[in-house]
Amino acid sequence: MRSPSEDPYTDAVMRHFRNPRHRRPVPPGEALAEENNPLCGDRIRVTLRLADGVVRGLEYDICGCALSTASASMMSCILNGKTPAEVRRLTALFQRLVAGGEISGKERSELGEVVAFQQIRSYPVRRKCALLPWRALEKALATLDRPAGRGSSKEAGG
Amino acid sequence: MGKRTEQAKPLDAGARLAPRRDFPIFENWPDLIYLDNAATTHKPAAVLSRLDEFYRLTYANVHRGVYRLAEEATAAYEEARRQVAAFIGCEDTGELIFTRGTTEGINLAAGSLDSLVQDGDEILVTALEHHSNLIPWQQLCRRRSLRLRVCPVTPAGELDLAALERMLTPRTRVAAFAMVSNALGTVVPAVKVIAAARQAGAVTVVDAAQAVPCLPVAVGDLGCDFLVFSGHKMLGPMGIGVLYGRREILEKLPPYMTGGEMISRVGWDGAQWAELPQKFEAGTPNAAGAVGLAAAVRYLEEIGMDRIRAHETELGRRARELLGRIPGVRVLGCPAACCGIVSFVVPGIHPHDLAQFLARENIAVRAGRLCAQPLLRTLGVEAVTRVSFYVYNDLAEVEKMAEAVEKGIRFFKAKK
Repeated sequence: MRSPSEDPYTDAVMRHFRNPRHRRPVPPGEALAEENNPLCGDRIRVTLRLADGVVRGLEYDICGCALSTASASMMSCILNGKTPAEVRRLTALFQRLVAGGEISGKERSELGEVVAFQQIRSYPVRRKCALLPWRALEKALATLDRPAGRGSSKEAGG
Repeated sequence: MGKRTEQAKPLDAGARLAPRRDFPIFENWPDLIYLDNAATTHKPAAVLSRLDEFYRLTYANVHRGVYRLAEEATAAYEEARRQVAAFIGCEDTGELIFTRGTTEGINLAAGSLDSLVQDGDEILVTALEHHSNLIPWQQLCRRRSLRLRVCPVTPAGELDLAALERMLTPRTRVAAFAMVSNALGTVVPAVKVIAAARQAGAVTVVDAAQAVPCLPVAVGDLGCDFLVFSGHKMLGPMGIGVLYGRREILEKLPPYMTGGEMISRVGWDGAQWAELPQKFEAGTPNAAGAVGLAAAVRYLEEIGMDRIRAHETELGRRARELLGRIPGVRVLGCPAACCGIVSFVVPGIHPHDLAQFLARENIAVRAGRLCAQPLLRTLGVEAVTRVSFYVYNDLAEVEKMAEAVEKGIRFFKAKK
């Protein structure tokens, strides 16, 4: 039996679920990437731009559960203002976190509130919920790497 | 005239039909309220010990060896076939093919029927179908340029029988339908549907995955050409299932898989097929699974399928009633004939969140698309929460589930 300390609906998760930050309707034409979870039909659209080598205007539209919504909200909070390289590193860190991997004290402080998702390690089926926004983000960043998107960015390589 | 609006219910309506102590899983999970029976059911000790006994006492490959152990294994396998056949009212054991489960049964039917269809033919399914009774037919239609038609359901979640009559034409070569919906619990009037389809000249395929576990099924009374189901949804082991097929049609069809045990004579240039049922059982069969399934059948027969049907109906009715009273809950469909499967949504709360909350309360339910994406889309929902009952459930568990749903709604809808 699981202990209550492994409950995925922590206060931080529920706070972001009830008041998601940087969420707004994103029309398909504006979205850089869209991802869905075939298990439940959840969908997310992500948009962002690069300005002065950092991610700006990371916003999303989501139709999802409490976990995917809170994950998107926290993601947008910690990644706006980061360089693509930092975004990729933090994404890998997040993936390690939800997979139950080791996270150092320094890494914990970098992730901030996002650490709440460590509980997901006990719920393998729900990992996909937490990862959905981050997968969309990776895809969105990849579109900016293509030559067509390169012009707008000074630090396209990452 | 002494009019009675409702049939008298026995005093113990809704009480468990099978004690939890018969099911070893509940020794390890004593507080678990298991309401995901449409996905799979738990196994009584009688089934587990029969499996164990088969491997310990009578295990060898079947239909091959001439030594006594092999003869006994073969006898156990064939006795299992006889018992399972009798359970569904099939008198000719040559018509009873063991498969891995419903999905394989439908793929077998769709794969072999390839030889009977002609370009321009139509295949009719219904909007209630699980993916396993849809995709094999879609693929057959693609391979052979056939048209797949889908009989709609009414808002109540029942088959639209008037539409069905219209859609059955002389071009309809196959009519395949779920006898009980895995999402809504609808019990389809199978006798009517089969009669109409046969009149149109169609081969009938019944997906009875949810029907055989919860109501009496007799293939002779139904008059179908094929009927498929899985062992694991009726207290039997995983990986064993049944395809019943009428001898006349099975003899016309080519085998679905080829290999050992399904031949009578083999040369370098060709082979002759074995007699039924071996013609459709290539390779080493899951004999242990079959023997375990026969033990499950005996367990169910001891309870009585009529009682199981009444029990399922009662628990399903109560679940619909209690869930329907909770503000914000939308129960999907209200079929006149239904069994113990109920799906619902709570706008604003994701089914996976609700199911996770119920898990915290030790209540196991299913959430998601139930392998029935087109049906859910027709009903205007992406995903649902589903509760489904079986012989070891009782009314008290249904009530606890409804209370927990209410509690979950309060949790997720709380402002801060």
